[in-house]
Amino acid sequence: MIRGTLLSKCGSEAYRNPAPVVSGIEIGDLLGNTLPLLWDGLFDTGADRTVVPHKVCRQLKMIPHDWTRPRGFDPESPTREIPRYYVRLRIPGIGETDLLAFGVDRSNVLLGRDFLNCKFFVIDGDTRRWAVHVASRWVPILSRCLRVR
Amino acid sequence: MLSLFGTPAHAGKRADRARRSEGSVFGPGYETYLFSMELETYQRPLKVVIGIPKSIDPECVPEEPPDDPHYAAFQRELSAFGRMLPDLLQSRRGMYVAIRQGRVIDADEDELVLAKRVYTQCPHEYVLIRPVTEDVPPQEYLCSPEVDGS
Repeated sequence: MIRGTLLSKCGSEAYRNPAPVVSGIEIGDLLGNTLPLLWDGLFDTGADRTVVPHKVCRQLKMIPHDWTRPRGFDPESPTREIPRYYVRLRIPGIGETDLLAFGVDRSNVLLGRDFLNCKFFVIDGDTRRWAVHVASRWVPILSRCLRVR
Repeated sequence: MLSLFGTPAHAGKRADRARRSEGSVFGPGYETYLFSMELETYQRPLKVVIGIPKSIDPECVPEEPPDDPHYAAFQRELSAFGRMLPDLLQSRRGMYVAIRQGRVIDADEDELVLAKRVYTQCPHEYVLIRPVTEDVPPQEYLCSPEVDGS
C-alpha cells in the first residue's frame, strides 16, 4: 500500500489544483535494466495508457514496440505517431508492474488506467489525501467503500 | 501538378490566355492558382497556373516519419503481419505472435510473457508483437490536456 497527499507539483510541472503524485518511480525494461534515476508520477484516470519520459527509453536503448496515434482531450486536434515501449515500473509500496507505455518527451510519469485498473485507488479531495492498494488484498474494503449508504 | 502555358513568344502577353486554358487542362477536379514567375528559359515574367487536386488540402504538409531507426522495420513487419493474418487466424486466433524479418518466431496467449521471452532472445532486434484478431485496435486516448498535441 502507498499513500500521500495531493500536491501542486509533479516533476517540473506545476498544477493549479493539487493532484495525486507519487515519488520514487524507477523505470526499466523487461530485462531488468534501469537507470539510477527516480521519477515523479501523476495518477491519471484520463489516460488509457501509462506515459513515461522518452529519454529514459532512449538512454536504456530500448526498442519501441510500435507507433500509434493516441487522441487527446480534443478529438479535432492533430495527432502524431508516438512510440510505445514495454517497460517495468517499480513503485515504492506497490512493487513491480510490467506494461506497454507511451514514450513522450516529458519530465514525469503519467500512471494511466492500464496501471490503475488493477489497483484500489482512493482520492479524498476534502482532506487532500490519496492511497493506492493492491486490489486483491483490499476487495472487502473496496466493496464496503462503494456500498450505497 | 504544375503546368506552364505558352511559349517564349507568349511571354508578357495577357494573363487571361492562361485563365482560358486552365479549365480544359485541369478539369473540374482541380483547384487552380495563377502566379507570376520568372523562369530563365523564358527570360521574361510569365503567368503560371498551378493545379492542385481538390482532394489534397494545400495547407496540409505531409508528416515526416518518426526519427527512429526501428520505424522502417516496424512498417515492414506490420506489412508482413497483414499478409500473414488470414493464415494466422486459422492457426493462432486469439494468441499474440512475435514477428521478425517477416516470419513468426514465437507465440503466446499472454502478451507480456511473450514480450519478455522475445526480448531475452533478441534484445537488439526489432520484433513486432501483435494479437491475432481481425478486430481493429481501439483508439487510445490520453485525455490529459497537458499531453494533448505533444
